[in-house]
Amino acid sequence: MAEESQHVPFTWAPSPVIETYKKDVDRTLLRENLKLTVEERLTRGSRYLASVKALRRSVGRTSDE
Amino acid sequence: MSDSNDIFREQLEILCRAGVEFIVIGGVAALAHGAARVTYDLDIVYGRSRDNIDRLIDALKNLEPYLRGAPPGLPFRWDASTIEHGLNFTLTTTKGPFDLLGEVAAGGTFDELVPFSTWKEVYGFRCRCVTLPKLIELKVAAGRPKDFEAIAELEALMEEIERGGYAPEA
Repeated sequence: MAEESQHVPFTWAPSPVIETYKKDVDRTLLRENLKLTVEERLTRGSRYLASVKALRRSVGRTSDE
Repeated sequence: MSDSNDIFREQLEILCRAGVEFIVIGGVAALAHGAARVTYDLDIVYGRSRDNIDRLIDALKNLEPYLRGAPPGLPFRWDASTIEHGLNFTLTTTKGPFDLLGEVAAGGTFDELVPFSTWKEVYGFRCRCVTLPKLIELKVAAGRPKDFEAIAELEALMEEIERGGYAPEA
């Protein structure tokens, strides 16, 4: 006899915790991103990450001085 | 560690050029769907067939892959035996961090996740990316408090797409 599946279907119940966090989401940023192509979104994300890394290195150097 | 201004392009190109079967999940998938949060690594679910493992080995072999967070000097070998005996690998490479997952909670294996993915045309390549609803499901299933903000953003994103009439899978 085949073993019964243990898969439990995902249920989309609104979470009060998530709803609280959702109030702080800046939707203007999302709307701007939605106007871009996927490639433009990834390129923008890559460049933002590079900026964050550069900033961290800069802060590290400053605190070492 | 790569300081490239186009790290995700480079990482995706490496995998696509090698013909690796994979699905982008995590922060880069969120970014592709329109999220605004910064992400630091590329998370993928890769196919576990021997051929695909060989392609994955080939793709990363020149990038000095090593287990992220592990002390230096461990006898870590980037070969098919290592991949076959393991499942999920979080790696540092000269092209930035790669998180390679053989399975993911609520998503299963590559084959199980394929129906919940769509093709994205990026940088001249076609990459599979998990759908936005499934991405939210994966984040919820991970159950990590650090994901609460990300889940909230993804749910807001889905609401914006539904309200705004955007083409979500451009």
